[in-house]
Parts: sequence; C-alpha cells; structure tokens
Amino acid sequence: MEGHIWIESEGLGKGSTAIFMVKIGSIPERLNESKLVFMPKVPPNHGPTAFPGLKVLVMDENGVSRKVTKGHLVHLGCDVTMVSSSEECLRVASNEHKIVFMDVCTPGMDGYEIAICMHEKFTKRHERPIIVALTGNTDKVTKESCMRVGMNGVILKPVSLDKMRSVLSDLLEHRVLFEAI
Amino acid sequence: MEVVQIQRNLVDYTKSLFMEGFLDGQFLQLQQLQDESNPDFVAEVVSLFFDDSQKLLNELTIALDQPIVDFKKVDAHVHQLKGSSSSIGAQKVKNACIAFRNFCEVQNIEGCLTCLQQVKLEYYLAKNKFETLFRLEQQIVASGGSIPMIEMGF
Repeated sequence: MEGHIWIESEGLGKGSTAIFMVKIGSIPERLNESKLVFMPKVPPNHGPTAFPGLKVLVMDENGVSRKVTKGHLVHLGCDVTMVSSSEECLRVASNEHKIVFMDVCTPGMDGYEIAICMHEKFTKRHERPIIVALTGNTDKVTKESCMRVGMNGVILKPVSLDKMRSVLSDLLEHRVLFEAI
Repeated sequence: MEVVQIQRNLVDYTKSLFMEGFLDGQFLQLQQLQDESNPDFVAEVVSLFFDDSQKLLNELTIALDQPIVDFKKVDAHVHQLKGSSSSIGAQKVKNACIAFRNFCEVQNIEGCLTCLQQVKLEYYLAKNKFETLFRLEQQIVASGGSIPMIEMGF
C-alpha cells in the first residue's frame, strides 16, 4: 500500500503509539485501452476543427470524389453544400458561401464558363465567393484557362487533409492560390 | 480467435495491400476522415465506389459493343472511373483507367476492349480485397475491440 509504519513512545511505562500512513487507492480513471494503444498521432500545431462554420460550396459531378472532398471539409469544421452540375452551382451559390470548389477536369462540363457566370452574378468583389478549381490535370493549359476566367485558384487532386487545411488557410488570408503545376 | 490476433491480421493484411500496390496513400486519407461524428465514412465511400463502378463498367461494356463506338462517351466513363478510384486510393484500378484513356484518345477499339477487361479484373480484385478488409474490421468490432490505425512511413 506504499506506506510506512513507525512506533513512537515517551518512554518506558508511558505506552507506545503506532502510527502508519498508507495509500488507500487512486481516483479511478476511465481506461479505454484500445484508445490508448491505437490513438493516431496528431501533429501538435494542428487543431482538428480549424474552420468552424465556414460556408463552402462544392461542385463535382463524380459522387465518390464529391463525398471525399466533403469529408475533408466537414472534418475541418466547414458547413458544406454539395452540387453536381453547373446549373445547380449557379443557382445555389450565394454571397454567404466564402469558397466555391469546382471540379473542372470532367470533360464536357464547362467549369470555366461557370466561373465567368459567377463573376456576372456577383459583381461586387466582396460579395463574390473565392472560386477555386479542383483538377487532376497537371498541365499548364488548365492552369492558364482557370486564371483567364478569373478563378482565384487551382488545386491539384487528390487532396490530403493537411493540404486542404493549408489551402483553406491560404485562401482566406490571400484570396488567391495557384498551385505550382 | 483473440481480438489482438484479428487486429494483428488486419494490420498485416492492410500493409500487404499497400506493398502490392492495390492501395495508395489516398486510402489512409479516408481513414483520417473517419471519427465519432462520421464513424462509417470509409465503408460508405467504398460502398459508393462499388455502386458507381459497377454502373460505369456496365455502361462501358454497352458502349464498346456498339457498331459505331462513341469514343468520347467511352472516355467520359473511364474518366469518371479513374476519378473515383483515385479518390479512394484504389491504385491498380486507377492505373488501368489511365492506360484505357490512352487507347480512347487514339480511337483504338481493340486496345479499348483489352483495357476494359483489365479494368474489370482490377476492379473485382480490389472489391474482393476491400470486402476482406471490412470483414476483418467487423470481426474486431463484434469481439469488442477497436480498429487499429495504420501508421505507414510514406
């Protein structure tokens, strides 16, 4: 019991006092052993919820890719709206959306045209969401086309959680992010 | 079998899928997105991938069976499949799609048909691997254990 015991006395015939100090027990902790063993390593300078309530619109025709992008953004605390077509995107986009992510690598779907339409819909710069292309195409033509139609950025897919976190951070700070292609 | 043993089997199996090139780092990204508020995220995304891919493979079979093949349509379907497989880290499927698109670009029907067979093969293999993975996870959860995270040195 991690304690000790001793006897004190004032002398012969005066009796003795036995004194002991022990640890009875510790405050029980909720031990969840599997959590302890398998806790994923989280870098100390990154918080899991970095952008609480940030309203983001995601346009992607591909259901799987759309769900994964949403997963990233929701994990970072964003309030995400999903659309799967350019018409829906133009209809749903509002000045409450801070960022619009558009998948532009779908052949036949003109992400560039939407960007132009967005500029027409939101004439005042401060009302217009930050428009970012998400593309799997690593060519200069794609990047130049995006810049020409007034997009604020181009991001290469696939995106990692860390990358999405720093992309959001850069966009909110600088309003521009063209990844080196 | 003890939970610890099944957990070890799961870790070994997952690692082998990476070593053999079935999965790439994007799959680890999906696992990072799974938490208490999204406990079935990985299974949901992979399940969506199965549904979407099956439809695309059916469409591709039909499209390549036409007397006059619309290569633009074929390419569009392959592009979608490439996108989905890339999003979940199904590396071999993705690579098979890349090869397929090259044949679409030059409108080589024989090449496309061969690639379709290859993509189907890779897809069914991937599906099989994912199903085994999820079965191991379910066994662990049913035995009261929790799913170990894989730390990979990429």
